[in-house]
Amino acid sequence: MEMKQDPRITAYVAGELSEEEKVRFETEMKENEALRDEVERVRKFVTETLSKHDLDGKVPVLGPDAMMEEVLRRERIARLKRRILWRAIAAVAVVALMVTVIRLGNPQEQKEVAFTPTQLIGQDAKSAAVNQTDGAVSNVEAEAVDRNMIVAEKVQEKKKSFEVLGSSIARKSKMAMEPPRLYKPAPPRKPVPEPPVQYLPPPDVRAGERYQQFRENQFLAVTENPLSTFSLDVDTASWANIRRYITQNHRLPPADAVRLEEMLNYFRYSWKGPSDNAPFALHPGLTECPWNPEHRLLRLAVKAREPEGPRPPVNLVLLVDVSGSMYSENKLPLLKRAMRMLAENFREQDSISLVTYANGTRVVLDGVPGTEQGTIFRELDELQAAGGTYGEGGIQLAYQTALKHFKRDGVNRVILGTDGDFNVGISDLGELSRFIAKQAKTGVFLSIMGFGMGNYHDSTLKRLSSDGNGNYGYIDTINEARKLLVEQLDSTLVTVAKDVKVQVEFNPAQVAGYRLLGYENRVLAKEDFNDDKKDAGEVGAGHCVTVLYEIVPAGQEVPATKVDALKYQKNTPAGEADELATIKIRYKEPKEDTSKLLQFPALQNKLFQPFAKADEELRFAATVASFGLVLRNSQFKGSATIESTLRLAEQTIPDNAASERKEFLSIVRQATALK
Amino acid sequence: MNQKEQRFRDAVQAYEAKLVGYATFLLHGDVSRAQDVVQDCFFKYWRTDCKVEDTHLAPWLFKVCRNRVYELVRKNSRVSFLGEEAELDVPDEQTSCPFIQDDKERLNHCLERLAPRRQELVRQKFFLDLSYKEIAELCGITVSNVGVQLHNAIQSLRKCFEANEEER
Repeated sequence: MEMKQDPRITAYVAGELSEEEKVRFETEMKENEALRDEVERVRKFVTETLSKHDLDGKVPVLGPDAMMEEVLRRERIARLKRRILWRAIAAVAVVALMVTVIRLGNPQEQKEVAFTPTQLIGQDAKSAAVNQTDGAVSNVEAEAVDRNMIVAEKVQEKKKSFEVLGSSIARKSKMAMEPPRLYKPAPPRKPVPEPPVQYLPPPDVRAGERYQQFRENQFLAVTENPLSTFSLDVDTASWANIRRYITQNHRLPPADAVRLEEMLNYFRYSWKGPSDNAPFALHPGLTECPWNPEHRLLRLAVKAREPEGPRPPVNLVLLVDVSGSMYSENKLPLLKRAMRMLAENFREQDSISLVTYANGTRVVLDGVPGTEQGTIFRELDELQAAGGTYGEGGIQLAYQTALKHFKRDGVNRVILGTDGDFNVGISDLGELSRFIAKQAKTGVFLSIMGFGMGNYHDSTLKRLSSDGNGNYGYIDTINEARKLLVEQLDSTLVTVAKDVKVQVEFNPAQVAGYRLLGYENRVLAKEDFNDDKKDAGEVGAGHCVTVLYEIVPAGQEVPATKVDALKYQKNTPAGEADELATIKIRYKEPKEDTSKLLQFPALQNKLFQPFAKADEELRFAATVASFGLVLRNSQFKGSATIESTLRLAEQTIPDNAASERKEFLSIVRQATALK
Repeated sequence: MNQKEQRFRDAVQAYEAKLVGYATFLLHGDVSRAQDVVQDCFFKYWRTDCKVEDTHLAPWLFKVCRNRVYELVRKNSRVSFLGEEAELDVPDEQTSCPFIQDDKERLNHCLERLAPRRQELVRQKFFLDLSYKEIAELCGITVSNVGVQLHNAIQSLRKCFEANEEER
């Protein structure tokens, strides 16, 4: 063996040789100068280089106190689970005993045992009461621990135990042919009200990322549902997230991460704003539906007024999540760079605050003028990710800070940068939502920038931003940050209209049925349109919102409507026979509480253009929708496939198209390979 | 503070950072998952009533940590684990190193050039202070194999690090 390859060298340096081996090796060393030198070199390397550098020195740690807390928290959860299990077993046992007694109480033996069931009912009521107070105690405890988990588990546990109860009762009462009628039915037979818990669908556990499941809008027959009502939505997060899945993770996104409206509205369209004083202009279009040649595609593009004059003074609170989960490169470091870019655009009259949260909350900057960029940059640079996630406290403190520096004639906004992991349960989330909605009424709006992957909680963020009259974007790259925070800063900051609702009335003479693409969680009841108390979406200066309907022309069958055709409702269509639909938009000025109505003249059927001749924006929007349907594997995707989408994209995205559209084309290409 | 709690706090103080570093390495740099894993480890330790003997505590914790990472990978195909693909006979990368001024960065750079399994051995021995025997047990290889692999790793590492030094 060559001398340098002798493993004993390292073992000797590391003190791993046995006494005997060590003596032998040292003797060899005495005789062999080269070996001695080599040992010396290895020793020098190990002691002076290797052991000296602590490569893992900067990992985020909880420390003994927080770890102790975490372990105790987990122990409480485990104990609580056990207790619930025992209680369920006990309940089953009580019922089994009772049913046995009831069986004894059949007509022949009634007299003898008549007193027993009554006693038992009394007893059971008592034990039920005990159970209830016990339940209250455990509720309090549950609040102290992870509510989300506990509540969900409780519901399941209870459901399970009731199922067991139900089936055993059913079985037993079948055996006792005639159910005894002498006494009151035993309490467990009554439908027991379940705890009033909103049971959310299970999160997408594969990824640790959470997406709210949603059911796609269905086709609706115009005879039954002539009105389509929904709230506008200017969020763009879904597309940026889809892009991240395809380009960075090299896999297709889960279906529930794909929201068509957020894909459509991510892209900028070349529409003109309103020429009059109205906040919106409407640009309709009608063409063939690429994935279903029998159907048509109706496009409504709502373009908001461009910002005029200089931006009003801004009171901005940057709320930054610096918990341990924000550690990775595409979270806090990216967030810092994004916030820096934003800060470059501040002016003397702007007031900037910086609030952070992790284990606790902290006001880092308290309303400094926007020109103190040196201070802002320095404080941003010093942010470090470590510790827990006290998001609730952070949000409260941010609103307090915003109110402190409130600008009556300016823009007041909290911008939250987070991965969405709030460590709060369902009930807390509801509370947080209500708190944010209340704050929105005072004039402080909330925008959310989502970061990172792994434990990204999409559904929570979407809900909170919509309650806070704000917008929600996902930032995966520095370019995305530039788009949202620099190029579209006015749209992000300056709201031109709030609670914007759209109502479309279709004419049955022209339209048999329709399907709204996307906006699933924005659909409203038709009565909500004129109800000013109903909250709806906000639109910023220059924003453009694109809405697509798949239209079933009159005379064709409406697919998948579950209701039979109505016999008596074939009302003769009113109005001009050529009218397709009438569009109404209701909105409030940003500081008003009473809504205004905008009516757009009825759309004529002659709006129709064959696909090849339709305007470029409509053709592009159709392509984006087609991609969305394929990614969702929608039941309504018709003939659309990833290949047909690629062909469509190649047709509709010219070489001189905007870079974000060319990027779309390249992502469709990459998706083709991932299939 | 009772004795159990004191023992627990001491263990966290002594090993948390090392465990997070090790788990992060095993999970290809996913720090937030690594933190979760480490919390699981300490929870498990707590559930033993902190009765693991002091002399065995380090290997015990690292073993729990490694197994937990394994479990996580099994359950979740999106997380990849160094241990599985990292065969010992994968050669270390021998490409020339760029000039790096900072010793620590240079070392890190050279370390990353080693075959992943050897990186793990170097970490276990020199950063986590485990003995050959403990490492052998943890990785399921023989003690003499640990010696050979570790020595080769040290020699490659030194070569890379010093080649870099000569360029300066």
